[in-house]
Amino acid sequence: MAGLSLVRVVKRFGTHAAVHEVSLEVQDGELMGLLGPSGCGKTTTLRMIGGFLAPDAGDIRIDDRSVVALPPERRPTAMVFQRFNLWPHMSVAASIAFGLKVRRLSPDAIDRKIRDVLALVGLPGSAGKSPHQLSGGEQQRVAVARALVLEPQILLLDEPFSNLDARLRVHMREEVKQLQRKIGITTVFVTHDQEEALTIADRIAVMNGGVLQQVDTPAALYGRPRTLFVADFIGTMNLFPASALPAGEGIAAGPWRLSVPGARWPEGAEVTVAVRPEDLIVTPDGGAATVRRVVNLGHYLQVLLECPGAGLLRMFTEKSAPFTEGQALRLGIVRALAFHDAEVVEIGGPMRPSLAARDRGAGRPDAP
Amino acid sequence: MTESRRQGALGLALVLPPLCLLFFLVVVPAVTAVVETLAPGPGGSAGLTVARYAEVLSAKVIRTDIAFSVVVTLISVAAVFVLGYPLALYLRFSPGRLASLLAVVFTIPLFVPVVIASFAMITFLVNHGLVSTVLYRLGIETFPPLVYNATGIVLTEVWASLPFAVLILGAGLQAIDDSLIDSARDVGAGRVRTFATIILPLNAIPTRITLTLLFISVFGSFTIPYLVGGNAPQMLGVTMTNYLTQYLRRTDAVTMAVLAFVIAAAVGVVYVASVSRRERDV
Repeated sequence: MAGLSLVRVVKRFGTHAAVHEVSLEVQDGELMGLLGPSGCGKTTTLRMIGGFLAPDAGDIRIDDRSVVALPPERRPTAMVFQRFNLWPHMSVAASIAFGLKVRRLSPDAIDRKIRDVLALVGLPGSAGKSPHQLSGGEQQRVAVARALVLEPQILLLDEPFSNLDARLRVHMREEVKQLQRKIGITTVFVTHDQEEALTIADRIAVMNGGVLQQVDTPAALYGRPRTLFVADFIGTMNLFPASALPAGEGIAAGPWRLSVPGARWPEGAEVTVAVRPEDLIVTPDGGAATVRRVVNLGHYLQVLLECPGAGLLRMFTEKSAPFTEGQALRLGIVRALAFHDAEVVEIGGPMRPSLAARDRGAGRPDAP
Repeated sequence: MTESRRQGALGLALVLPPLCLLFFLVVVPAVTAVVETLAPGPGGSAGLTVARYAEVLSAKVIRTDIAFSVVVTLISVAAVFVLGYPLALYLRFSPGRLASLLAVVFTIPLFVPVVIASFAMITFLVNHGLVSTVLYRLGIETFPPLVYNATGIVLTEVWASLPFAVLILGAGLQAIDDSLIDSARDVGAGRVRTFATIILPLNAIPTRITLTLLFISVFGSFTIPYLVGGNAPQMLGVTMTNYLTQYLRRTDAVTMAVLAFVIAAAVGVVYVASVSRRERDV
């Protein structure tokens, strides 16, 4: 087992930088998710780790040894692809044995390893089958077995379940998580499905436009996104524009006036405020809003609210909450993030809307 | 029920013209020809006889021509395959401008009529042609003649057939998904092993199709051996034409044609087997 580090890795296709100066540390035994929209460079990054693409600059180190110069067949990595993993002209056993034969293991050892690894992935007794006799999920399990049988130091998974139906996908990712825990292998998992990443990854590296946005635990990514992209991409987020008030007075965002601790933004600077739907509450001293739509999502309600100056906002509440369409109410923000250029400030605690503040003649912002 | 019957009738109506063409222009003449060669000669007894085949095959010159045709064809096919496969691999796996340029350049022979290509090869390969001159300049003064013999036929056949082979082999290679090849590299196979154990078997059907079609087209070719070949031995296409138009021995020509058909049909079986297997796999 080993750690993996990427050091300022760059990959260009023509003049387009598919991956731009990505640095990433994956700890020994960690499951790292590489998450981003399609075209963000996550698969390119994975293929560089596997050796299928050569970086134009930077270094890739496994166990503190540079592997950049090594072709895929000489890297201690094993990859599971999105699809077309299994060779159609080989049986399951032959597929798994392929890499072992390359390594010149004895037939006895090969047989034993095939048996063990098929038991590990839950497919004992399918050694003699050919790929077209297996379901999509079984094929991917065999692909995982073929990768694991070589005892690689790093396991690479390139959206391995995206071709499976939704139910099976959920089942398979749990299985992979358990398998990964059991053998403790360092794993890098590419996905565009944030739910997949949030549920199984120890940490997630979010990429966009070839740039690494943030590397954090799922909880931290959700709670403290560091860029506007991550705030918008992970989970559901309400975003609306705000502008900075004179120094020390915070920002004006829709009906609210929010204090921004520590920020020194020039008056009138454009700020974007991000609020999670569950951080909106109904409070008597909140800003005015109108209920537009109430959607019952089973165990909770999603309420769409029209809020002058902030646009359409989403609020999640418990399903017994009494809301009717067209109802007027006052909305407060429990917690928010304010983004200005590359800077982000966390705004916490109870917030008083600017309207209410003016009513009371208190022009100063609330303390966080 | 009537709807499906009407559909069936429409389908039949659509395939009927080509079916008629096939029947009257291929099946009927072929059967007539076979019957003709098996019919006893004037004054002979009733029934069928293989006497004509025995007679044709007893002629040493014809036996030589048949053997010559098979050997020239096998060498041409082997040469096309050996030259074409690396080219197809290169076009499939090498990105870049040189590969895209080559992909266009190598198809040029497809657009050159065989007659023109044959004369071009003759002027290129004759005693005082470009190749001879270059060899002389390089100090090689004695070498076997390059044209009006088997060498000339093989060289011209290779020139004319290479694009076709590369296209079919390349289409087959294109159909192999990258991840099948990447996964072989990933588990430790080098380039040679990946080629031998993954690419070659996965491309087996297009390969067989290429080889059989090449064999049949070279074996049955006329223009190239007629123009570039020597006087004797000759390939069967030329021999048949000579028997038909020069020696006016029609039945002997037809008998040779049936023999040629039998050889081609034996190879054709491989093609049909490959194609039907591919359809079953799909």
